[in-house]
Amino acid sequence: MLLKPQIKDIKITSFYLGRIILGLGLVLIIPCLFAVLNQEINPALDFAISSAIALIAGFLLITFCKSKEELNWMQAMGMVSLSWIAAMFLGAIPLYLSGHWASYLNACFDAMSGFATCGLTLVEDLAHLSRAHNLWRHLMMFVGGQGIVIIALSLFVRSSSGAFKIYVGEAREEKVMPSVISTARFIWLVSLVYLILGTTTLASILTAEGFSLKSAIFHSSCIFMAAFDTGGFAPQSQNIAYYHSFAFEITCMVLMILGALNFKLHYALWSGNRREIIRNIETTTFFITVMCAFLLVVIGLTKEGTYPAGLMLFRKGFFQLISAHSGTGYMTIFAPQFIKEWPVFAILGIIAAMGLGGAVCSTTGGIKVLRLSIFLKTLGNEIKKIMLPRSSVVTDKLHHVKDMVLDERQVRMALLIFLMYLGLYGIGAVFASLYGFPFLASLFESVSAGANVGLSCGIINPSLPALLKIIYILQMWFGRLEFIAIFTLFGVLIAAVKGR
Amino acid sequence: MILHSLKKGLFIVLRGASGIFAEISYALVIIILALLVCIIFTLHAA
Repeated sequence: MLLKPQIKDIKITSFYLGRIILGLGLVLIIPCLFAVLNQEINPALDFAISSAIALIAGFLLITFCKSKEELNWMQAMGMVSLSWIAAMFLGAIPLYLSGHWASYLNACFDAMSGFATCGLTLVEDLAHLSRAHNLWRHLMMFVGGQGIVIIALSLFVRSSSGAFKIYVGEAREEKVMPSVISTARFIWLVSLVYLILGTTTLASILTAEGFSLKSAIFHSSCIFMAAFDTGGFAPQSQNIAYYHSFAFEITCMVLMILGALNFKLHYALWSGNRREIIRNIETTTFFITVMCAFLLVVIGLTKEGTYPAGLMLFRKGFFQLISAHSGTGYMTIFAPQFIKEWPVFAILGIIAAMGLGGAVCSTTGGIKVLRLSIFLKTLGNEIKKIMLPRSSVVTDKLHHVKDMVLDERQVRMALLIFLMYLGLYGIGAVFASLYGFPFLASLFESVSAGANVGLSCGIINPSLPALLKIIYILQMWFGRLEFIAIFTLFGVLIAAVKGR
Repeated sequence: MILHSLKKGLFIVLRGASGIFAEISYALVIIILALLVCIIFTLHAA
């Protein structure tokens, strides 16, 4: 029997949602100030309006739904799912006001793509977009990559047992430190340290390439935010190809790989446990899957002779592959080249890499390599059990920061999410095929949206049918939150109608 | 309070310098290996 949600459930969910919206309103002040400093008056007004709407909405929710109760699991999951939708609607306001998005739906598409660290975009005339709006696109990726909830936890929550439930709702099942608040702060610390290192390196390269210092810093900080948070937005429509720099591409590759690592692994390494990088099941699996997928890409590309020179094969083939596997979506080729120039074999390698993604508790999307390891480990052990004598004991053990024995629930959850991702990729591909797009291209775009990657083969553009845009938005949302929180929200909505 | 947090953060970063080095090395190993694969395949195709 389903129990109808009570008024107090709505009240407490709205109270915490208000806090998240308030946090978002504060973040919107950053591009507003940036616009004022750059004397971009119209963009400054766009952000002032958007920030005011968010702050007022957040303040009203907090005031009218004031509650001192802790969130329970149902409320936390529902609140997290709703906060991402609220973030999309609010984040889209300044984009739509800029006039570079043909409709509010297109702006919502880009806002969800930004917050979900996807990187697919429907922007028009990107080259003439104001710097403040460009900063906002990248800031959305940084905020979304860290986790919208992490921002709120860092800003507003000092100590609360409800914090852990919100944290789990945002598809981060692993705590790095004993408390969720200190975990949120550690995630910020790692990102800020790499922000300084990454931006400095990228800016030095761009300055050496002839960029002015101001321009180099702006481009570098934008590219860093989208590379480390495995987003994929770029300030120029040619994406990374715009910079024509081998050193810049190598730095981006390093940042993308670092972004795909687990924050728990960062903590272990930063605590002096350096051997963890070669012992951890995620880093070893990631290494193997990158190399296997790259072999598919290389065999395909060399067989067709797409890039006859070795360096070009690396800059085009490997860059796209690592961008796909880390879930970033940066490109050094133009979108239609995938279908027009790349052989099917190489495209399949990219699709597989996109579908897998990086580590859990990182900023990447997709199935995640840990779940693949659990799947393969369980499969291997089942085969072992059949082959060994009945009395022998086979344990499911793997090393992930510490040695761990897999219990039945962990295996079941890993396999369940694995299957749900496959379903998500399939549904998107079928819908795009129904609109007349070739199946391979449809699958490519669907996996890219569902795994929050952002690589495109050209289907996604501003003239896309509205229903497909909505389906891709839903795919990005489901892919980012890893299903459970959203299914809980749907469960609550069904209970509100059918429950007693 | 802020100074204390900054001090704590700086301590973690300094202690983590070798960890940062290990992470970047891991990324570079993957990249160099991929570059070698490209060179080998191109030479083989030629």
